Amino acid sequence: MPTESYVLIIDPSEDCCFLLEKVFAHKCKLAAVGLSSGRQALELVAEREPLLIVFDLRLPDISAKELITRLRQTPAGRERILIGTSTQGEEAARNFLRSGELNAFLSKPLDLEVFVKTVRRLLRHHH
Amino acid sequence: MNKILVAVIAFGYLLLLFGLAYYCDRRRAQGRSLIANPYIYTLSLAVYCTSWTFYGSVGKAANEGLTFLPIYIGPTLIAFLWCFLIRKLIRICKLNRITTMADFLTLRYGRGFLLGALVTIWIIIADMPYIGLQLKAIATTFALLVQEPLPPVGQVPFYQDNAFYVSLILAVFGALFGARHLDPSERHEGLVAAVAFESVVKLIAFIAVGLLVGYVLFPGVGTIFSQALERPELWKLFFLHQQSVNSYGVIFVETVLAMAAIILLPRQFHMMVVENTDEKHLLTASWLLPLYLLLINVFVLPLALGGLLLGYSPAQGDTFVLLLPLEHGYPWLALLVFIGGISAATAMVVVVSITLSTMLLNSLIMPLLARLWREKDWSHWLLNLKRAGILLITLLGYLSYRTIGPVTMLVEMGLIAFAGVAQLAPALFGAMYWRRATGSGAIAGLAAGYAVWAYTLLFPYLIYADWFPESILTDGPWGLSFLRPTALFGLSDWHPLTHAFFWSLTVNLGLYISVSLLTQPSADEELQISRFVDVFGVPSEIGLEPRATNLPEAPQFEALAAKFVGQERAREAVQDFIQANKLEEAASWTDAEKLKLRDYIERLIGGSVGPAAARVVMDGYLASRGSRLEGVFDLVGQVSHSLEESREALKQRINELAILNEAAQHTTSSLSLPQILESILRLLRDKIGVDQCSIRLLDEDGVLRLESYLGPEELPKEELDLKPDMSTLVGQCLLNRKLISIPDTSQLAPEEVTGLHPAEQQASFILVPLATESQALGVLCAASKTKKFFPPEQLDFYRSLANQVSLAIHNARLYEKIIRFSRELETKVAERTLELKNKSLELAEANRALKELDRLKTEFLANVSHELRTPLNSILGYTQLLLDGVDGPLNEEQQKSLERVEKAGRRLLQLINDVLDLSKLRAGRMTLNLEQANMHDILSEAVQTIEPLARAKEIELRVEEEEVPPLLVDRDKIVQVILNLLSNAIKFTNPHGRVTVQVHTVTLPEQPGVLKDYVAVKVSDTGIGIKEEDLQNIFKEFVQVDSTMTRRAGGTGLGLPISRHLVELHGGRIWAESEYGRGSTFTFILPIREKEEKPAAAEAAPLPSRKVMALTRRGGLIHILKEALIPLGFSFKAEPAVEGILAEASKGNLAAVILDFLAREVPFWNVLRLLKTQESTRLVPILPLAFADDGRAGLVIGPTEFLKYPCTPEEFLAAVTSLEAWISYKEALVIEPQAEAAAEWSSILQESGFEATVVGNGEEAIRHLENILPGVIVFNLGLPPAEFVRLVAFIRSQAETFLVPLLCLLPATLPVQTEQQLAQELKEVLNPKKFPVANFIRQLKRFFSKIATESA
Repeated sequence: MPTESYVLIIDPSEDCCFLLEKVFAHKCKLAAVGLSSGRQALELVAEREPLLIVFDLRLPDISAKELITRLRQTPAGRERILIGTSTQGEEAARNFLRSGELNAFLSKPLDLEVFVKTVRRLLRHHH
Repeated sequence: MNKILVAVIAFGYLLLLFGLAYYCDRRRAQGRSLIANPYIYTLSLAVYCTSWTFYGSVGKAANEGLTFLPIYIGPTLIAFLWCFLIRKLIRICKLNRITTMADFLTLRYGRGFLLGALVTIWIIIADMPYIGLQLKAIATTFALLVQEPLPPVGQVPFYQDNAFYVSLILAVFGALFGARHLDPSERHEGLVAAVAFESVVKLIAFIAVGLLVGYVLFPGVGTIFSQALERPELWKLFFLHQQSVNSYGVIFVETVLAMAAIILLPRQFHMMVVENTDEKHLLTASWLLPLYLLLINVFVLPLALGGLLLGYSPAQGDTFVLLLPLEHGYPWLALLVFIGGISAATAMVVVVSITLSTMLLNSLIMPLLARLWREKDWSHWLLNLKRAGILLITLLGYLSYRTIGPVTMLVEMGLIAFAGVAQLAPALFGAMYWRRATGSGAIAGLAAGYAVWAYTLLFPYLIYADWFPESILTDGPWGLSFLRPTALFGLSDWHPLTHAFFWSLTVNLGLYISVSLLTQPSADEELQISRFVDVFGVPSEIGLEPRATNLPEAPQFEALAAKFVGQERAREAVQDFIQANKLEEAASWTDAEKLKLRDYIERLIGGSVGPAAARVVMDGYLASRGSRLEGVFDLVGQVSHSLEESREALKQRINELAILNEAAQHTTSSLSLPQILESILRLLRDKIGVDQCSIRLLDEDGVLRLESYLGPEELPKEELDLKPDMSTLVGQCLLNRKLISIPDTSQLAPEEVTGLHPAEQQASFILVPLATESQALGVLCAASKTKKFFPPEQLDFYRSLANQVSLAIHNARLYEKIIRFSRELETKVAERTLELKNKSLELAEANRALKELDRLKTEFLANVSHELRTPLNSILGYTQLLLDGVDGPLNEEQQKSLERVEKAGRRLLQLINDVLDLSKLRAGRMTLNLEQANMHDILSEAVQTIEPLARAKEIELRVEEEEVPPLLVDRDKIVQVILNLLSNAIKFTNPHGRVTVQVHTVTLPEQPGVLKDYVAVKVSDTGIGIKEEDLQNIFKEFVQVDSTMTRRAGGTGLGLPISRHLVELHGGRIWAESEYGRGSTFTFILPIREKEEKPAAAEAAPLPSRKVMALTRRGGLIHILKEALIPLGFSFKAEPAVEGILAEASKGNLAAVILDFLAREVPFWNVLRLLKTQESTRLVPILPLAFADDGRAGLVIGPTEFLKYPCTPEEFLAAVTSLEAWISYKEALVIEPQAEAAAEWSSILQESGFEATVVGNGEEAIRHLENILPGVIVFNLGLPPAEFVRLVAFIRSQAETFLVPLLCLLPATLPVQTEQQLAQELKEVLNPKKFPVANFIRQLKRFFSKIATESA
């Protein structure tokens, strides 16, 4: 378990988790934790606050709506940076964006350049 | 001659007459009537010839020539009618015991007192001069005979006047002849005999004088004429129409008067009708009386001319008859003439006095007396009254002789009387022949006729007698010349007689007819009409009697009658009645019989006292006994009478009707043909009694088959089948549709073939055709062992029966057909239904399968794209990482290979996206996110994106852009389309080529249903172009013109089809033009849907000096507003309280104030009011916004929907439905001042399950809302603005109601004032349904650009 600040990646695809971990490590110099389970991720978040959370909207064990709601329900949660990704379902994502529940949404396949820019912008803006 | 001698002889003659009369009366009492023969009857009628004839005719002839004749020609001309006319009169009078003309009319016209009185009075007036005339004749001739000068009338006192004594003597004779005893029939045989005798005497006397003059004084009648012709002054006597007195008109009138007079003169009526013993005597009278008249007239002209030739003056003409024998030495003959004259005069006076006395008594005196003393026994009084009457009449005659006698000639008096009685003609003849004649008509006609007669004829004589001034004759009364008595209404120059005749009868007849037609006969008249008009047709008196209660018995009736006719006569009469009606004496009579007796008695009394009096007497009598007549006529009696007459026929007919009725019941109660036929035959056998009967019907092959049979033995049915033709009777019956009846089969000709089985041919039989109007059906046969069993009068019955059977057969067959048809139909329908059911099941199945397939496909595509993208994500991601050198530097080869991997991956991704898009488009699942977009922005975005690509290929990208209106489009999709076209253009254009984009507007020609204005985007290149044959395919999926080229250029081949779909989805069109080898042009057009907005220029020219304030403390809203407004060039500040805004406003320059509608701490409407009342903010536009707390709502001023009306119920419901999310209770409050509209809204609401409460105005609504919370409030924006604002303010200010949805109904034409006020109060109402932030911001922009423009 990393003890320093970290970013949390939640994605059912191990490939993707690994890819993003690599991206964060090499491009942003950030430690990343990749999880395929949303519930495990929530436990981790409760344990230690991540810098930001990138997650796929289609997770096997939890719906995006529930995940977002639980991540946002605490006062601290409202300040979290949440980036959604998905191969589809842009409409739903747009609603989350509009209500401010998601800070950003990127569709898969990810354009790594755009991804990195977005992450950097959000981190800069927030801190 | 000696005066005494003459007087004695004359008196002796009268005694002789009386003796004769007495003798006759006795003979009659003994039952041996002397006078019951036609000759005596005829001679008695010669009472017509009075002294006027006897003396006056010669006088008239001496003065006027032939004008004496009409008086005799008239009766002669009409004599042939007596058999009808007078016979009817006699019959009526006998039947009704009528004794006078007045009674006749009284009875016929309703037994009123008035008519009888009128007739009586006028007849007396008319006849008085006539009596006077007789007296004058007697007095004059007596004076002549005794050669004493006759003192001028009226100059001697009456007691010295011979005429007075003559009248007294005549009165005594009248009483002796006419009133010796009571006789209700008023028949006086003695009088008749005396009159007949007198007729003989006067004829003999006259002819004797005629012979004397014609053959003694002159050598012959011929000589008289030839001598007269030698005297020119006498010529006028031979010709008519020489002077006014013998004009044709006068002759005609006199003839007509005489025709009437022979019947209507009271003495004529009496002798002809009342004294008639046998109607047959009329036959003799109708030739003998004319003969008598001829004889008595033969010597009139010779006597007149002889007298004149002998030197007498015409003025002495009246006395020629007496003067000639007297002065030429034949005194005894003169005496005979005198006796003849007395005969003529006395006959007239006696008969008239008796008649008029009866009339006076019956019509005037008795009706009055009977009213006064009902119970009195009149039998003795009556006789005396009658005698007094005779005396009175005679004396009245004398009176008239004394008054008008001196001024008139004899004949004139006669004519006056004639014209007077002629007035009776219409009423009398009408009584006999005209049913519609009424009493009112008779009275009106008579009264008017008499009046005119008196005025035009009698009145002038009174003038001549100096009773009135003569100026009336010349100038008219009171100078009114049109009322001159002899020239009424300017009808001058007529002879007074003609004149009077014309006017009096015209008026009389006219009124009689018109008044009769205008009035209705009374019930009593109705009864009499048939007794008079139908006198020959009434066989009995059945059925026309009213019922009665408490009627007197026969003895009481007898006692009543006795009071008028005496005991004996009454008893006799009652006995006669009992015998005539075959009643048992003293037996219990029925009411009808008693009533019959009552009428009989009434008629009996009527004979004595007249019908009017008799009615009074009888009614009074019955009333005094408490008898009551009820106005119910015994029709049963009449009916039963006529029933009896035809009982047998009726019985037969009723039987037949019963059978027909039963047959009808059978035929309608069943639709089974065999059943019907059998029941009909059974009827014939059981009810009519035929021995055998059968029905044959035509089948479809035209064969007549025995269908039903009833008889003693069975028939071999099949053997009787018959093809009908004219060779058999059955065939004839069927084909000719004619009933054939054979009353006796033994008379049947041997060659005739019946077509029946021998067993069916009994002694008699009939064949009746069965047929409908269009079709022969068969034959009904009935037979009997009795000959002539089928009488001719029964054949109609069989025809009727056959009609019924035919109808039944027709119906039964029709029914069969319908049943068969309906069964066929049912089968067919069942088959079809099954077929259809199967088919629809198949279809439903197919449809379901298709839907499933579609769903699977979409799902599949979605899944595939997901499944493809996930690995692609890894492929592309890692490739990029590698290329970025994350895992260490790469050599050139590795670098190139990885770039190829990345490129392939991107292409695969593009392909996946396109396929997904296309599938969405084809399935209609692509939704457009329409917004107001500027073409310039869209184009810039696309060009910016594609520019690197063009640059890489060194292709010139040129943009030629016109200014176009903003479009309502899905901006991203249009960018996509343009990108598609541009990338294609660049792909297929060789380096150094050129790609041009043009934007401009196009206007299509006007076409219904098609938008007119479009924006066109044209992308042209200088590339390879497209072959003609390929042009039509390029927009189809997966078609690329040159596959090698595609591969080289890279692309999915789906770009154009997707573009086409997207453009069409926007309502536009896309097409391509190309010249192969030189380039292509792709064009698409998009409709301009909203032409509203200000050009983008306004948006681009903000007013930075302006400040927008918002009254809210909510961060989210502040954030959104800030982000929206700052780019527009506004400065923005939010304040939590209104004071802040006011403070800011006082510094000036507020562009607008945004009010958070839902800011609960500040009541919206209070703020609004405050802002609108402050000078600094009064003119500042205010934008109310509501940003609901619960997240699902966007921007609302409370949940509100607007609806323009008039609208359809569907639109209304749609509006309500759109508010559904807000509606908690299905209760609606409708605020609508117009009752009609209110009813409409509430009924629509109720239909969709709402309870609706209607109030008429805002005040009421507020009161209502204070108590009850509705689910939705529907209100009319047509309310007065103040009221509207107050209402909405209230609703939105209350915690309970501020979220209650409103449905505002906007009148299609809002009053200008209202609109202005609304605009002032609420600058803009944002559509509450548009939630997206982008939309909201766009609306905000629009709002503020408007503000900017307005303030500019």
